[in-house]
Amino acid sequence: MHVESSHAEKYVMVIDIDKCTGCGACVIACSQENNIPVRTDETDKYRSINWLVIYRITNGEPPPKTKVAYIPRPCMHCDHAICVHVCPAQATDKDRIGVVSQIYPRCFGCRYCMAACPYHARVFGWWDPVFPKGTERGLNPDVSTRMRGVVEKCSFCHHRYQKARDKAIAEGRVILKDGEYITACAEACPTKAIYFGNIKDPNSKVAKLVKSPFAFRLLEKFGTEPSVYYISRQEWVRRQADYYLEEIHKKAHE
Amino acid sequence: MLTRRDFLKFVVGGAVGTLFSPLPWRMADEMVLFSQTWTYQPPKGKEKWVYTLCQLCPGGCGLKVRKIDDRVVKIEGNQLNPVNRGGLCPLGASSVQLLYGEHRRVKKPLKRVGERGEGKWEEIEWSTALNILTQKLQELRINGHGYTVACLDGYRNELVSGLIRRFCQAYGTPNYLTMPSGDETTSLVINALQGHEGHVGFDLENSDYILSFGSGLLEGWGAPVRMQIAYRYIYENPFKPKAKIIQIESRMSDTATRVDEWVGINPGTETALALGIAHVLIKQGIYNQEFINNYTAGFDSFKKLVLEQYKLERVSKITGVSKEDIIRIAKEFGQAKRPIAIWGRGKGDIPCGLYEIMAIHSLNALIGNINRKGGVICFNDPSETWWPEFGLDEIAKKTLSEPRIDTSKFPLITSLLYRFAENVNSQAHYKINALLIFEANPCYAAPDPALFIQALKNIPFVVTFTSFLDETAKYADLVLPAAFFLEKWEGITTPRGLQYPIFGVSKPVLKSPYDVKHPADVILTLAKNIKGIAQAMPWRNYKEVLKAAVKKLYQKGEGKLADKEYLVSLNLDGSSLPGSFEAMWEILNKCIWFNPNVKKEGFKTASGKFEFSPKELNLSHYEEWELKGEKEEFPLMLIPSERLMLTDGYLGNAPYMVKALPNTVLIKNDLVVEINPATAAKYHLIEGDKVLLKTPFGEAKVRVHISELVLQDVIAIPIGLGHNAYDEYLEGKGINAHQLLGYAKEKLTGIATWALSRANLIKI
Amino acid sequence: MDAALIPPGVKRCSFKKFLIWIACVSVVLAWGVYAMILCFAKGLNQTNLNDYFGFGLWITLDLAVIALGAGAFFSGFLRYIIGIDELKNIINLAVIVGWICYGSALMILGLDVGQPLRGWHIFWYANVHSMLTEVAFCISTYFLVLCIEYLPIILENPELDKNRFIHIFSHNLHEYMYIFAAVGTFLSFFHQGSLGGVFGVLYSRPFAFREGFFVWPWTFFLFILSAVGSGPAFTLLIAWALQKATGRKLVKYNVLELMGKIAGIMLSIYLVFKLIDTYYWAIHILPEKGMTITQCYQGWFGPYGLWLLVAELGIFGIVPALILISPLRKKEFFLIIGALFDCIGIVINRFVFTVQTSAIPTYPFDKWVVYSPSWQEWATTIMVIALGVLVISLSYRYLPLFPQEKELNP
Repeated sequence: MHVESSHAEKYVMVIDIDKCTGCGACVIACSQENNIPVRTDETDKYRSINWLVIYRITNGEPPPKTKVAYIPRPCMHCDHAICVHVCPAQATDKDRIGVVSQIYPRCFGCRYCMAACPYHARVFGWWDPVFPKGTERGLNPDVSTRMRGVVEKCSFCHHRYQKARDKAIAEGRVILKDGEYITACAEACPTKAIYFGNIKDPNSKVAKLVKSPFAFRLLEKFGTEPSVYYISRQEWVRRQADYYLEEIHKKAHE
Repeated sequence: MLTRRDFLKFVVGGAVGTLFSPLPWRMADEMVLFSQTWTYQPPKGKEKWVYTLCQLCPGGCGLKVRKIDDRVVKIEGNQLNPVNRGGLCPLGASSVQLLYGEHRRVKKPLKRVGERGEGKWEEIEWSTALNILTQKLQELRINGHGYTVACLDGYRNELVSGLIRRFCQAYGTPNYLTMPSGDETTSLVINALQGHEGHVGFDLENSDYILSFGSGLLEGWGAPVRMQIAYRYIYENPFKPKAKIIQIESRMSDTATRVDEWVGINPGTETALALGIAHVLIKQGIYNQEFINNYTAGFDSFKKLVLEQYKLERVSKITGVSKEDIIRIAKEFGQAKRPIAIWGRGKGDIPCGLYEIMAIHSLNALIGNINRKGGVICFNDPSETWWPEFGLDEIAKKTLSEPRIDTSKFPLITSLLYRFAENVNSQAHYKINALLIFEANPCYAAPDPALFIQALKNIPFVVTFTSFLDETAKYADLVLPAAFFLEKWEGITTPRGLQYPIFGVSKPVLKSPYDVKHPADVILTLAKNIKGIAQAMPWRNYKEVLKAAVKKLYQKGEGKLADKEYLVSLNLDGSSLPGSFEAMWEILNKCIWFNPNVKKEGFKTASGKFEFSPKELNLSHYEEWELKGEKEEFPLMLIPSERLMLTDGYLGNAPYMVKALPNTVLIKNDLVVEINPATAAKYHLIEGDKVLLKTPFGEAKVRVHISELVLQDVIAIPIGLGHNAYDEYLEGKGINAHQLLGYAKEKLTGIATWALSRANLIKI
Repeated sequence: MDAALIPPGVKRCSFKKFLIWIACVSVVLAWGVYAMILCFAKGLNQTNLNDYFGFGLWITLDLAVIALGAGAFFSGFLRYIIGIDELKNIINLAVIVGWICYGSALMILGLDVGQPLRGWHIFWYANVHSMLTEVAFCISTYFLVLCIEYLPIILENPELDKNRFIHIFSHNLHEYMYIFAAVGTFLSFFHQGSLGGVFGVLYSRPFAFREGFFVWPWTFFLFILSAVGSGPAFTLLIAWALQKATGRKLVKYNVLELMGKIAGIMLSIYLVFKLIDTYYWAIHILPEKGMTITQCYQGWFGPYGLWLLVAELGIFGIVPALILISPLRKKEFFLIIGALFDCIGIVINRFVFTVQTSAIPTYPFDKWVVYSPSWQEWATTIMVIALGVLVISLSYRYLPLFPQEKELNP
């Protein structure tokens, strides 16, 4: 479903791969912010509930020429979200600000959206969710906890948007300033490799960053129009991500 | 009259009609609730943000804590802190799980029942526990055996360390020990070479050439978040980095893959390489002659040694680094504008040799970067020098004169935990009657933990102050619940490696759900109740201690308050100190005190110069580490590998962190070690194979990951797993690398490290 | 002992023998029920499905049984709408096979979803853009149609038929059967196709993606054709197996041959389009999506190797098609081989779309993943097969399924 938002806000994320050191603070911050359950054995990464995953890629050269890069991957919140198109129960939808939402009590776990998503951004609750005993006290009341048997995924911390918007409205305005609403991962990142903001705001950092010829998105060839952009000045990283269009982008923005 | 037909019609009609009503469908939903575990939905409440400082590592990060009513629900970075600038590391981010982990927190004082190691306790009241403790300490002191009490301090950059030291002095025991790390040796070296007892920082952000001898810049070395920010600053443009970084280590860590160059050296040969580089610098005259002539002493003997004994032929053979590379790197280092050489393996907790640090630091002297921009910055940390004087009573004076229990041939070297264990076992010097452990976990992380556990058998009274049910708690007689950092007052002093002093105060963010106390408060109570030491502790509680420290700091009038929104830059602006001490005290948890323009401490040696060959230590030199075991039986070398996502020692990995460990570290409950493809071929191993890893200190089953990033015949083992305590999220996962690594000794000084060990692999 | 329930004029084995047979089937069934209970109670971690393999054995089975159960609607269509009268000799079995297949599919779907008690959401919150919605509505409705088609067969049981009301009722149903056949054909056409559509619309999975006509990707039509090309074959295989198991001739050979011929013709038509579609996909769609064939297969002999393509279209595609449209089908051996290979080929096709689509790495830096079902998945799969065997056994014993049976067993 193609969504061209005439709304003044469309939130995107820009991740600078050259700045990401793979430390994982974003993953932990996301887990704590979004009430992610954790089992005693999470070594089966194909059944582990992770909204934000960090991929590790190398340039394939032997040492000492080996280079390593880390690619944090949240949900892409695609403009042409295939998952929204195929969900039989309308449990997922692309909203006005660009976030692809998920209604957990409506999802009945058919996993069609998971088969559709090429980014593997959607994860399934294979077990009843558990939290280490006592840590229920530390759960975030702004985020619904999920049950087993449904699909969940990164929400661009949508609950933070609602809070920021409430605050702005109380101050008499509707549009948020750059940085007023950011995701937990962007906030935690020590190198500030993750940028998050409103691409329709010409003064926002993200609006400027996406113009870079080194900015690309993953799997653009599938036509999903993701909202997460990546930047890398290292050519090998861009090639690993299947991006070859620096020259064309440069010309387009000259 | 109602016929059968009517009745049937009614029933069928009713059934069909009900299907069209919401009733059965809502019932289905209700069934869902009854038939499954329905996740707890936390209640909403009043939101409040409070500030504190992290104490989970000596990194000095400022934190913002989100509370809903009384519950702590999120930890975020404080943008007003110039060290972490709003960022976090995974450990800090998972603090909530550490705080609230019901199965691993110590909830009440525990008294051991059953055998040591069984982990069986009974809960007792604090009053009972304190009575036991006070009585024991009082008794030993009165009988003149005060020196048989040993204190093991697990704190790093917290003010409470000073209090523990003070307690030991006042009480009268010389046996104040710390968990081994690079820090004590660094202090010793700086003291010997520069006569300076204060803090050493590295101005990496302003350097243009960094020679890193195994320092895990992105794995947690120094102040972890500061280093992440420094990395970003340096590599803002990856094609025009502001500094060239050379990472020297036996395993190409993530840091090595991301900086300019990795130099793979044979394990334990850093000293030789440093002296080899010195050789090239001196031979080719690429050293700072002005600095050497004006500010150093003993250069001639150093020069002689280096030129004669550290020719590149020899150095290359020892280290495995080619002559060409050594020459090139030395030249680059010598000709850079602001080069710096740093030390401290991995996170900096793995000890370095004394001569190793001497050799590396001599490079800094050679290019003359000490107390200069981009170099090694020496200063006095006011938090270490504020303590007021106090007098010792006669008992203390007498017992303090006894020798330390962990003495080696080198009286200057202290905190040799393995020495402690050896001497306690053999009772060569004297018996240790009581051991007080402060938030440390030696039964897991001491060099050769099995040796330490054995030593405990000879210590009749073991007390541990701990927040968690760790391995050491299992072997203790009294387990006293220490407040977690979010639950207590604390003074946070300068983080490791920072080039300027800071001071912050952490205020309790919440009232602990458990019956805990700050060990500092316990010490103050003990001081009141044990005759003869009250004069050293004139404070009613630890908060008063902190207030006194802050007052002194405030009165000095130096430095500024960090109250800007710091971005990922070098901005070190701040505001002048507030008008009153009360205002300063109020704000110090949110805005730390810092002094980027701190007065640098010059050379305070007898000669007033940098000593290349200090009296007690003589010249630096390379000698092979003394390794247990024979090469024939153990032909491979085992080295530890570290990462930010795996914490070692006293703090067990939080559940979210264990979850985030990749399959190259943990598969189910098997630890994964890394070996080179050539090694794998030699032992006929393929990816994922199970092997028996044997060292002279123990053996265990692990799995292998084949990686070109490890040198041939070297095995890299992740350090931090293999716990048999804490909770079900950590217990039984992997194996304890400390046990297999044991320790290697620096011959002349007796310093022990677990940076390397002999090893062998047996396919199973 | 149950002689009264057995249709007049035909012989059945002793009740004791029958009970033993039912008991054996029930043991297998019970094992499957146990696995099913485990899945409901503990959740889907009982399977070997994971985040990369959201669809596995169960969905493959679903697609396969729906395709193979197409014998019901297609035979009905040919009998009642087109008027091929000969098919009346096997239409009852076809309906029952269809009923079993669709019943199994619904059961397995109930198992497969994460929250079965929320199954009704697909009807209430239906997303008109999703192919799966169409599938759900259609197979549910069609199952009702099959129940209606099955009902008169059950009502022909001698004991039941004694009741006057039932006798008249079932007779009337027979009269109007063509309506249900037409409705069934219409519904089947759509859900067979929609099942193909489920995969064909995935523009993010180039292996499965196809362009198409209006909202329907080409897989929509290919799935319909492959279903009608294998459904009759499956029905004929069941009839043949039933004959072998009971030792009785139940239909004249020409009926089986007719089913084989129908399957062969439809399979051939299907293969023509399928080969064109595969070619077009390989040289047009894949490159347009920035992928190559070698990226979609694990070499020639890997778990998802090109051998699968050869098997699906060649050995289990062209070969059975040729057998079934040629005079070879007059020989029983070839007819059965042809039908069997036909069905296997379609099962491979369903497997390929479900499982291989998920196995192919999407990111350039990701790798292939392999999936093999857990015992619980196998047990429940075999459970529905056992259930089918049970239903056929009961139906065969107590219902006059085959009009030619009396004639063939004097």
